[in-house]
Amino acid sequence: MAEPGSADLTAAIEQFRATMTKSLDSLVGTLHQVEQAIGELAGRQREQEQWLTSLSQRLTAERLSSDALTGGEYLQHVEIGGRYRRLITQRLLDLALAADPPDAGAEARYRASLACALFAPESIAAGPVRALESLGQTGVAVPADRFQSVWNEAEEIRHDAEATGHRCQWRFDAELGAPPDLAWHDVCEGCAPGDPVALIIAPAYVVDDKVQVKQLVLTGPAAPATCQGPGESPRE
Amino acid sequence: MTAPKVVAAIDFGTYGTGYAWTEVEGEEGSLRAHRSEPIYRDRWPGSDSPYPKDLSAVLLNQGGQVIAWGHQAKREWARLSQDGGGAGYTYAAGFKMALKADAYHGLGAPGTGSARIDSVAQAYPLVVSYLRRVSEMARQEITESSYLDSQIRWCLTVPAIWDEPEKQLMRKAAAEAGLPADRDRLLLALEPEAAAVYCRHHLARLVGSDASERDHAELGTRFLVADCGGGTVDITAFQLVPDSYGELRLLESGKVSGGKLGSEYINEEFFRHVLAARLGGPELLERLRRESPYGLLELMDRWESAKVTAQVTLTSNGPVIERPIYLSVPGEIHDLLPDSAVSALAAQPGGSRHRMVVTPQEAAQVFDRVIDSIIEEILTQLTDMNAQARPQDPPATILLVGGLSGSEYLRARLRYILDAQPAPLGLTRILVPANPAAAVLFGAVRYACDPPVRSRLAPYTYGCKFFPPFEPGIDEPGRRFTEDGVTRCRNRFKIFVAKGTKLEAGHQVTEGMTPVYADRQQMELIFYRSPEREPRYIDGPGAQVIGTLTIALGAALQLPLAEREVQVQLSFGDTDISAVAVNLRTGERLETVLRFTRPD
Repeated sequence: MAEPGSADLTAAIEQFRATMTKSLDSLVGTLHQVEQAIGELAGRQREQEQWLTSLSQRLTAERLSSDALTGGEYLQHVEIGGRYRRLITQRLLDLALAADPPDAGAEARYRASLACALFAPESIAAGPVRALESLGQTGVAVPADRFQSVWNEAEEIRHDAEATGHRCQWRFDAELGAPPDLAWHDVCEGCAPGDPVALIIAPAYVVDDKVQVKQLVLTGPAAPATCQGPGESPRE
Repeated sequence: MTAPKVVAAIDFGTYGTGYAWTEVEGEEGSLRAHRSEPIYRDRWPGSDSPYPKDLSAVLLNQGGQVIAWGHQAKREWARLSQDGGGAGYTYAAGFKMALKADAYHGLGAPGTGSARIDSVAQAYPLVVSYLRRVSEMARQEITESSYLDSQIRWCLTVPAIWDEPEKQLMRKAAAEAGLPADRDRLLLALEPEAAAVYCRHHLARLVGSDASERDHAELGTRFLVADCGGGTVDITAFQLVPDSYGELRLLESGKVSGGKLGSEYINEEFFRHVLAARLGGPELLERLRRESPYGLLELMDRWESAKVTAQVTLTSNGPVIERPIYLSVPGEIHDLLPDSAVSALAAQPGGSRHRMVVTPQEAAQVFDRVIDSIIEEILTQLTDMNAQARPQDPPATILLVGGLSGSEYLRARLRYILDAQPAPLGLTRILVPANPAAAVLFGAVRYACDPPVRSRLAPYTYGCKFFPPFEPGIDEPGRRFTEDGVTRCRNRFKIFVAKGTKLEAGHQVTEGMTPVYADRQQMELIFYRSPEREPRYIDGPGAQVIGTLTIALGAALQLPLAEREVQVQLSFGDTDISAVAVNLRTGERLETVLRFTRPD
């Protein structure tokens, strides 16, 4: 038999337990809600981070396409530009010297004619045989085998430049008679940088409007222009 | 750290420095670059030609403050000298070499007119200043795309020849320059490893085959990276070996710095032997250096750009340079030359009053003085590498990177000399990646996205001083002493890692240490390295102090001496070594920085 008052105590305990259980259930429910809210917030934060990241990536892509940044794929032009520089400053000069030009002006015109034959669009389209003929017609005598050799080298450079998929140009656009712009033009040896441009010895190598190799120019009194396509008459 | 959104690498070279970065996606451990090629800077103040690196050079004013960097520093210094205002200004280049001068046989940095920086104390502030300038340029570029500084993981390249103290110094310099001190946010990549990573993702040219042939850069299981830069040539041998899980890991099996072998030393040979002869002797060169440093700089720049483009023909006597190298003489140099020198220039075949001709023979002599030594170092490393090879191993591969590896003459000479060797040396393949000048830089970006699991052989035995019980008949009697009733041996070498042990990235060694003296508030551990495999004493042949670790014993002082045990954990296998100490009795984690300080 239970002690007097024990039933009351048991009932009180049961009631307390029920209250506590209810409170705990309520707390657990609240905790679940909080966890759910935290999960939602974390998810939203992830979404926002992803959104911000994609925004940053888009911004970078825009800066790359506007030339504010340089992508690694442009590194190829450092190597191509080096080969082009060697061709115009070493090989074409070597070829010109073999022809024993009488003076520096004749030497520069010879080099300019060769550069034009190798890089002017009309000459490239006409091919090496026509280009060599055209050089002969303008008094620039080049042994066929040596011309073929530099043609091949130039062709490989042009091909590699085109293969990059970038807009590569060989620009002969220095303004004759105007002073050289040293950001775009290299002045030939022995020439005064303050004198006006007289002749374009070699075109600039330009990629997506950024100069990789500057135009090589002769400065001084005006010289006859040499760059023309096969079959065209010299420009006055 | 949460996964980074951007990884940025700085290739801080002896001659040139550049940076590149890329956006990354994914979680830590599976990060991938958002685009196939990183973003880099190709235009630098003071230079017209696009190139992935600026000169590692600075100009200091009278107060010792850096006022210009790179090409700009060189040009500004030349201009000041020419105008007579150069007094008190200092132009310094190649100062990175001074961080480990002993590796370069005490040589000064290359570079015409550069001040001699030959101590760590002189070089350190210049390194900090240079790193600050480059990292700020990179950071500005990155944050303009709305990234936070905290979202960038950085990677800094270091030479394989550097030891832990130099790497620690570099970390310190980087932190002082504003880069993160946190190891997760600033990785150090070994330069040859970065080059190898680059080569595994890019096409490379196989030297000695059809010139137009391009091959995927299969490095094979044994390869040697020859990093032929402007200042130094570093040669590192690697093996791809399977770990206990069968995964292939990179094992560094040998390394050497060739010292005076970089491209700048070819320039010095040209300056001393060709220019002096051509322009009228050393006295005139000195006058030019004084009166027209700018003109001289222009002329040297023209040689620098022309020299690597020298074309080569193969003959029965080996490769020869095909044609002369033509260099236009800047007007201001020309104006200072005596008539006799100008006439001599014009009298040369192909020469003129404004043009100098370097004959193929002269060019070859200048190259050979440096290139022969490079090839000799490569052959030595290859021979060592082949000695460790198994009969079934395929021939080794040489990966040529760095600006000088663009030289056709170097490549052809190396191929020619290897072809003359018996197998297996003669069968060695030579690979040159596309854009070798940026291989380390771009490789470091990839490295930071996914750091390769690396192994290397411990180059020394590492350990610390301790006082264990004396072993009669084994220990030297003079080392015997008694403390707290225990007879102990003085200055024993406690080995943590023995020389030649294969260390994988994150390799950890844990040792328990107890203090000897009851009244000491702290326990000082002095770390040593030894060239011996099993050194018994810390004062044995070649042993050196490499650092100290001072642990405050704190609450452990209340315990009996034998229970004051401290667990010391060293983490090896990464590019440097770190240490953590834990008091086993109290569980207190006693953190400290292990400073690798050498007695010098």
